[in-house]
Amino acid sequence: MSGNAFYGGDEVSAIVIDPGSKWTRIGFSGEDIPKCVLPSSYGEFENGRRLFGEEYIYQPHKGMEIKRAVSNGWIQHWDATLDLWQYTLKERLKTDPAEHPILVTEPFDNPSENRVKTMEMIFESLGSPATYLARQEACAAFASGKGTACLIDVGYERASVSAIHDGFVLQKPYNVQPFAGAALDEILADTLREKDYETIPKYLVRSKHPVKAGESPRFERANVETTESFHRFQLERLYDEWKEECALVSDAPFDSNTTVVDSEFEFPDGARVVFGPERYQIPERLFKPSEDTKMDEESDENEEEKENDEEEKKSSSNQVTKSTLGLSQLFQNCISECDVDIRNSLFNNIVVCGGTSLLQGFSLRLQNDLSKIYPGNRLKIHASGHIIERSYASWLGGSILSSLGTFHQLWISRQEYDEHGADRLALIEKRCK
Amino acid sequence: MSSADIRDVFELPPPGAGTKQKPKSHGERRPEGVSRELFSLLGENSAPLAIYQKKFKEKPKSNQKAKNWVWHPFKNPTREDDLTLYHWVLKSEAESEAPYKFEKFNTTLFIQDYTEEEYRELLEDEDWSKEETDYLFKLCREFDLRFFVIADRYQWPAKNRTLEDLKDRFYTVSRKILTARNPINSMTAAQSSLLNSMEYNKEQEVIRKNYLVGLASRTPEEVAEEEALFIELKRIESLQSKLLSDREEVLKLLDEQKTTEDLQSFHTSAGVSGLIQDMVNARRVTKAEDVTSTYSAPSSGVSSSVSTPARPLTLNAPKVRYGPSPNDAKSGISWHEKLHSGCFVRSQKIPAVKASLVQKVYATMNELGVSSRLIMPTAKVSEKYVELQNNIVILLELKRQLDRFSQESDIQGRLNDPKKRSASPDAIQDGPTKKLNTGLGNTS
Repeated sequence: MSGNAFYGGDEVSAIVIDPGSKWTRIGFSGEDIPKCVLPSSYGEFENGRRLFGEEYIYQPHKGMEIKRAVSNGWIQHWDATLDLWQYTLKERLKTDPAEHPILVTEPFDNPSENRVKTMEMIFESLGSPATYLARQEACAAFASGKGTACLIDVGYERASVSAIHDGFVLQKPYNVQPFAGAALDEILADTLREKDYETIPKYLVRSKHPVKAGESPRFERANVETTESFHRFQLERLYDEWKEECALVSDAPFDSNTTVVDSEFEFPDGARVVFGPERYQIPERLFKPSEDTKMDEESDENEEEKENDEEEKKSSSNQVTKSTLGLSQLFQNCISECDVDIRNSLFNNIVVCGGTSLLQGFSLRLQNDLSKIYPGNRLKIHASGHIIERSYASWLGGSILSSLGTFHQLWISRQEYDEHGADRLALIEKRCK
Repeated sequence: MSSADIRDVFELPPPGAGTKQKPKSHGERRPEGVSRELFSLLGENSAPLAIYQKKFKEKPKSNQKAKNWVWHPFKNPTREDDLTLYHWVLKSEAESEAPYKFEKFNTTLFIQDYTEEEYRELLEDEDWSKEETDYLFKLCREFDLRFFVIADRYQWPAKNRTLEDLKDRFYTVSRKILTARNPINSMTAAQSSLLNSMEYNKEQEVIRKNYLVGLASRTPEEVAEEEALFIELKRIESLQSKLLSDREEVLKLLDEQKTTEDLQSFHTSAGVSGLIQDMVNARRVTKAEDVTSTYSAPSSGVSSSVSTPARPLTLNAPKVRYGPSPNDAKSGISWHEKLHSGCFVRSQKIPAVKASLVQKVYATMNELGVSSRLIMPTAKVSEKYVELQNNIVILLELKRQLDRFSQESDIQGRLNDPKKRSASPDAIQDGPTKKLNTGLGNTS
């Protein structure tokens, strides 16, 4: 038996695939980080050739369109996803998927067709001997070592609050909305447009000269020909940088009385822009989607525009709608659907994960907001300080799960798949709860 | 002061004397045939060695030989299919064909199964169809009786089942089957314990849950109010306990006999005299215990001849008399509660008063015209003195208690008086009760 059998582990060299809206994480089970983390976006040329991986799609290529394989947590483009996984497994991990059982994570609201298709893809196209579809929410809880938890997952395209009891995700308290990191990007783009500033991403800058804060930039433009989607993709990278550096969540709801600390952000073209209240206002939208500030009027106007030219602005789903809720509201909805008897254990085990949850001041604000709504209850929020653990929580849980000795009776094998030729959905629903 | 004087004082050598000429020392002579540069590197003049610092760790030394691991296929017997997975195993273990280590963790809960006839006979219910009951049991098996998850995932068309409904139906069915298959009289211990574990009171659970829901949906103001009330309650309770302990103290001072029986008998004069007799006897018993322990052995033989039937027979030891008799003063026998060893000065053995009260005691004695220091401490005098002292102490303590209680009742009266002056111990400022105020300040 393997050395760590004492702790219940029995590694069978399975592969864990965790597809997210922005990043896809693929690695071996039993390890503590995924060996490959690639963008879920891919570059596609007119002749059908595809490129995967940061080192390829970050470079401007003529005629390359950037498309998303996974959107809203669900796999959208199946052959692109298959290509992506095959590329990663064969070129990056240098393994043959036919030799390894594969565990794939999926969100709880994954449609049934997607579940069947994922399983088919693994058995037929990848040729794997066994597979399992694990719930991302349960996996993220396992990564924190908890079987019962209330998970708050704020990723790129989805923010969800889910209750997990004894490893099972509860159906009724599951709350999800498509308002997360990508929505913040949109709001930031609007803010910069307001400031009358043309955002230039890095690939367009051939050389730049230092300027003082507030001055207009002086730089030489690179002579590259790229597509609109590529340009938008690169802008998203720039927004990510801004969110990492500048964004700040105030520990109380942001209003006119909050002290504002200014910060200067240098854009790739050399411009140095000072950001004040915007630093707080933009992440504030996660907690209070609609404000009584100028921001709100902007979004209303934009919404009307978007209704007119819907095709152009695909991102309309990310803007604030009437039904968008703040995170504390999501949490409240979740808890109120839970049975009273488990509420206490949920309160004691609140787990925060997701890339957008790494915003500065996020956990503290969450704690303050929730304590105000539930005074007298002991709320314990577990937010790992480690960036890897927060962003890759669901992959880590999958890695842990697939390396347990007691898990190996749960795999769906090829034999069972062949036996259930007609009724694959029933097989999945029975085995992967 | 010239420099010569200074040098004299400090005993420094004269200026020119410090520089001595070093004798020319020839080290090794360079042998013939060895060039100058080469020689400077070898021999006595060799270059200083460079000091190595091993930056790498030592190679781990292992006494054992490297173990042989193989990539070994295995099957999991709990699986229904033939899935063969691989893992690394020591070669020796691989060849031993041991069963899969984690097989034993595949435990399942014991959930009853019922046949068609059993269902028709026992388990029919208007609210629950057979299919629905089957569905419920299937879910129970799937989720291992985790009712929270079962209730969450339960989906039966046209029925809205609460957690309590499901639990109730499950436990009722299980109990019925169990009792039908094994009549209660002939149940094994395991089965009866299983039956007991299946007790489920639906109404109670529903009430409890509603209460919890109400509790959980309190507003923050209600929570704060509840906490304030709780603190009040704690305070009142602590005051009560303090009151009780004070009362105990007073009673002890009065040396009243503790009684749990009816007090009616003590209301008559006969009863009171009886009480006095009991108290005297109680004293005698304690004294007897003291005395018998020290005198029993030697005097047993003597006193048996001395003691005559005319003398009143006392309780325990038949040989030893332990109470004073009228002839004692003549014969010089004295009875003491506490015996001192060796010779001593009587006035020094007067029991001291508590330090906190000693001043007051002396003040009281002065008032009474008795001097605090005895001039002629004979046995009788000191006995009386001690008696007086004790009585004064009792008096003072009682007075203190009385003052405190009267103040408390005052405050209570004022509190109960609607909207009168708020009770503050500071309002009552008297001389001798100053001490009481600080005491009271702690309690209120």
